[in-house]
Amino acid sequence: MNLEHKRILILNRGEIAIRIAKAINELGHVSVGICTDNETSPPHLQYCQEWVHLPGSTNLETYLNIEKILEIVLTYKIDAVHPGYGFLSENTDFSLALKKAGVIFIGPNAEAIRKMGDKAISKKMAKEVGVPVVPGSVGEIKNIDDALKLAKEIGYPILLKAIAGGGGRGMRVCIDEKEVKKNFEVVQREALKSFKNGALLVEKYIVDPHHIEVQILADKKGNIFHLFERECSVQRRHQKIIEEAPSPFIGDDEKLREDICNTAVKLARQVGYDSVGTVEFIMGSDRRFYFLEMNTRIQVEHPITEEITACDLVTLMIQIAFNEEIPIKKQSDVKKLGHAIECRICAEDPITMLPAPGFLESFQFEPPQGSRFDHCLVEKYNISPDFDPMIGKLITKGLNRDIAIRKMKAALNGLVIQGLKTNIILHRIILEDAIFKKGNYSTSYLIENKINDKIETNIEIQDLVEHTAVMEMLYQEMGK
Amino acid sequence: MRYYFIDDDIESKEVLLDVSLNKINQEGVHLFNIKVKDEKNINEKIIYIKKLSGKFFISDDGVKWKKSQILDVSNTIAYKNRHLKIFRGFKPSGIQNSEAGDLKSQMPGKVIKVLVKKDQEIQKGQPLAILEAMKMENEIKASFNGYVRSINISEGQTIESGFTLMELEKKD
Repeated sequence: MNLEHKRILILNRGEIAIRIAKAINELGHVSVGICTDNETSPPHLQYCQEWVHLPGSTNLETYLNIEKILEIVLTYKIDAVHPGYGFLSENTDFSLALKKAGVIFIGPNAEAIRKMGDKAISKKMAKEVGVPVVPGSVGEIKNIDDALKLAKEIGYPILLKAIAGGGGRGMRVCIDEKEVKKNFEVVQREALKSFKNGALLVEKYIVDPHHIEVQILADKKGNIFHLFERECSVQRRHQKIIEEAPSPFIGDDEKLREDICNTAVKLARQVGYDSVGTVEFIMGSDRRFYFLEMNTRIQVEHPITEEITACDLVTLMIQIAFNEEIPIKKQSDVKKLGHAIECRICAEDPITMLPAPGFLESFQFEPPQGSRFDHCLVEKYNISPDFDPMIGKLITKGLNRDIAIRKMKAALNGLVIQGLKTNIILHRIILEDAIFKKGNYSTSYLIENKINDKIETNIEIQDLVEHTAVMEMLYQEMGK
Repeated sequence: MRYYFIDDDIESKEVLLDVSLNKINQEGVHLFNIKVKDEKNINEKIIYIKKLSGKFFISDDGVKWKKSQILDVSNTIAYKNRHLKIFRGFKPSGIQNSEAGDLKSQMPGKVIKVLVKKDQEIQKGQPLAILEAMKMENEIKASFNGYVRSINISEGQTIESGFTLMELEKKD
C-alpha cells in the first residue's frame, strides 16, 4: 500500500468539491481547492487544506481552461487531479495532457473516456458486444438537412443532443421537422458553450421510458464490478430531480436486475474501464432496456449507491487512481441492503423549474436518523447564475422504500432555506403523490401528471404576520 | 414599525404590515400588535413570540405554540413560487407595480438572441428573445397579441432580475 501523502487538486466547486475534499482528507492526502474571480470565497474552500486562485470569471477562462490548469498543477506540485462531474471530467485532451505532465487523472484511462465520452463511438462499441442500443445516428450529424433525413428514417419523435453532453444540457426533443429546424442551432450553441464541442447526435426518442443506470467500479488490474442500479426517472427537461436505489420499477425482478447489471459490466470490460463510472440505460414499459451512454466520472447521484452498498465511491475512486488495494475483490463482496432516495435541492422556481439564483440569507437542517445532506450552503452567500442551480442533495435510507420515503419527508421538513426559491415544496408534493409512492413512474411522470401545478401558490397573510413578528423581535434584540 | 412585502413577479403584489410591541412578560414572551393591509382588507392581530434555544415559537393566545420556520432577519423571503422583497420602515422609490406591457426578466442572465424588432407586430406565444441562465437557454414568449414598442436589451448583455427587457403593447 502506498502511504505517501499526495497533493490532489479538486477541479470543481459546489457540493461535489466538498465531498471530494472530505474524501481526500480522510485518506490522509492534501486537498487543494480552486477559486475564481466570479466566486472568490466559495464554500468548498473551508474543507480544503490549501487553495489556489484561478483567474478569470467565465468557465472557459477557469474550470475549462486546460492550459491554465496545467500551469497550476506544475507550479504547485500537484500529484493528481480530481475533476468531479461536469467541467473537464470527461475530457480526453485534459486527461492526456495530465498524463504527459506525469500527473494522475482521478478517473478512467484516456482511451476509455474517449470511447465512452463520445456517444457515437460508445454506441458503436455497445453494438459490437451485443448490448442493445436505441436507433439513431452512428456519428455526428453535421447539419439540419442530415438531421431531417435521419429523423424521417427512424421516425419522430427524435432527440437532438450534444455528443459531449450530459446532465440534461444540450439536448431537445423534436416532434416534427419544424422543431428540428428550430432547435438545431440552439442545441449546438448550448453544446459549444457547456462542453466546448458543438457536435450533435440524432436518435429515436422512446416515449415513457424509465431511466435506469448501473454503477460500475473497476480497478487498474482488470477487475470490474457493478454496485447495482439506480432509477432516475423523476426528471424534467432531462434534468434528474429524484433518484432511488434500487430501482422500484425493476423491483423484485432479480433476473432483470442481474441482466442489466451484467450488461453494464460487459460493456465496461469491452472498453477497458478502470475507475468508477455509470452505464445509463433506458427501459421501456415492456422491460426491454437500451444502452444510452456511459458517464466516465463520479455522478451527482452516487450517494444513494453508497447508502445501499456501504461503499464509499469517492475514496475508492482515489485509491484506484493510485493503484492501491481496494476492499472489493469479487462481485459477491458487494451487497445491497435496504433502499435509498436522493432529492436534489435546487435554487429554482418550484413551478416553472427555471433557475432562481439569489441571496441565501440563512438555512437550517435538522436531520432525521438515516439521512445525509451533501450541500454547499453557507449563510449570507450569493448563489450565482454562472453555475448549476443545484445547491445540495438530500439523501435518506431505510430498510425498505416506504421507510426511506418517510425519512425523506422528515428530512425535507427539517430543511429550511431562507431567501432563495427552492424546489423543496415540489419534492414534498412528489413524495405524497400516489403514483410516486407506488414506484411505477416513467420519465414523463412530472409533466404528464402536472405535478408542479399541484403546488399551492396563494400567499397566506398569517405567514407574513408571523414572519413580521419574528423579524421585529430579532430587530428589537439587536437594538434597532 | 411598518413592513412592506413586495412581490418580485410580473403580477406585483404588495402587503403592508404595521407592527408594534405591546409588552414583554417576565418569561421573555414578546406580545406584538399587527395591522395588515393588502389590496382588499385591513386586519388586526395579536402575536406572541418566544425564543427557545435560538428558535422562535409563535402563538395566537400565549398557550398553544408552534415552531416558526424563520431563522434570521432577511431582506427577501422565498415563499412557495414567489419571491418577496421585505422593506422595514420605508419603501424605496422606483419600486412600483409594473406596467402591464413591460416584459421583465424573472432571473439574472445573459441575452443570447433578440428575435423581434421595434414596432413589430407579435402573436401570443411568439418567442421574443432567448435568455441564458445557469447554462440553460430559455425562450421568452409573448403572452398576448400586440406590438413591440421598445427594446431595452442587446445580444450579449448581462441583465438582472426584474429588468425591463421590452415594452409591449396589447392589441385590442
